[in-house]
Amino acid sequence: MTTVAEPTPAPAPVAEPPAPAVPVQVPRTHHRFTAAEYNRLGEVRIIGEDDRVELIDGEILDMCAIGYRHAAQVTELTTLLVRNSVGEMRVSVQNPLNLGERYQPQPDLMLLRERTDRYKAALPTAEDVLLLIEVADSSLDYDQHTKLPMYARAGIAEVWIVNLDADQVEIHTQPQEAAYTTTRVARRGETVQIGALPAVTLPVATILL
Amino acid sequence: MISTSAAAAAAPPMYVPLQRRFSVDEYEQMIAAGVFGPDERLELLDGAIILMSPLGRSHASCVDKAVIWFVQHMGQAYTVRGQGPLHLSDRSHPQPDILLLRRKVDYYAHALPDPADVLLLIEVADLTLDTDRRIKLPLYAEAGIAEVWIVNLAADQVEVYNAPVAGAYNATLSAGRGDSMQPTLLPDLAVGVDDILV
Repeated sequence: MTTVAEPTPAPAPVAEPPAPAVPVQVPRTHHRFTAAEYNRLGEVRIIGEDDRVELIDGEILDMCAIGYRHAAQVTELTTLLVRNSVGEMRVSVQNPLNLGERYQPQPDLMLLRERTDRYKAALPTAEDVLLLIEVADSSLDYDQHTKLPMYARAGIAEVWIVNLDADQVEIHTQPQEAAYTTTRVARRGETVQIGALPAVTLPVATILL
Repeated sequence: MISTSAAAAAAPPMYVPLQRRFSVDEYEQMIAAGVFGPDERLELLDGAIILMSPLGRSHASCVDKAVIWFVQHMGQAYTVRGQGPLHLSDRSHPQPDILLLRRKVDYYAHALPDPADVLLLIEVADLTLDTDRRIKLPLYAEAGIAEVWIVNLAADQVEVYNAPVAGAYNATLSAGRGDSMQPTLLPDLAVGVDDILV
């Protein structure tokens, strides 16, 4: 094809690249975002107000789309919490929770204790959360094995997982390190109480749709 | 009542959250907004923001040697860019170790080079050899980068990849010390492996 002035030795042809000769390979790591960086993305509108994302262990994760069953269950729980909360408690739905430098999830519901600024000045933190609820269908595994330990490590007092497929409410209390040491599974026909609202008795049949 | 097997067959797939992917525009906005610390060396690969590994001595010296050789042997029509950004696609913005680019009057000050500007792309790999091959190489092929060389420091060889078709390089070969390579788009240039390897 081309004439070359001086002959040069041809490179040795090999069908496949040679196997790596190094004993240890270092995988490329993703940049892990801090909460400050994550919030800055919101400020410059790279993450929009309506984007459903969470910051989990420094990774910005897309949240799954909300199905109608999930939406209806969240609406029901919101109504129940608002009706039964006392004093200046607040009910927060699908809003961010500040769990430290690399964690800012958006739980489905939170019952928050009274705060004089009504949460205007800053996001709620773990101490503000009286009850946290995740509604789970396809996200059950993720809620039980990723989010629940995260909430336990943060010391959130009480977490419910409303398990839509199994038609039950999983109640987790007494966080110790990365796990809740007390778990109760409540079904239709039974009643439950929220730790922060001891005067209220809720039939599970009114919680589940 | 659904039977167990039918229920299992009908079960929806378990949700696994995906990392949010960013476009090059968003990535550049983040850089401009000062989202990242000044010391972070980052690349955008297929929408994911990836930390570049710190440069070891052998990596840095190989890049230096190669850059010096190319600058000395290439004509005025070309630019050698060392570890600078390349606009690969709307989701990838890598910083390859060496780029041989068509020279532009403004030296790409107003617009980053894109695949059509790239005559040859070289990655020097020691600990990142596997991910360079598995992650970066397909992205380069997909974007139509004509030729990629991966300098495999541990094996003392240069892997040559060209003829990109549908996300993969069809032609590959390995060159060792004493061999010479001619980049497809610079056929008059004979690059000895010993001109690159320290």
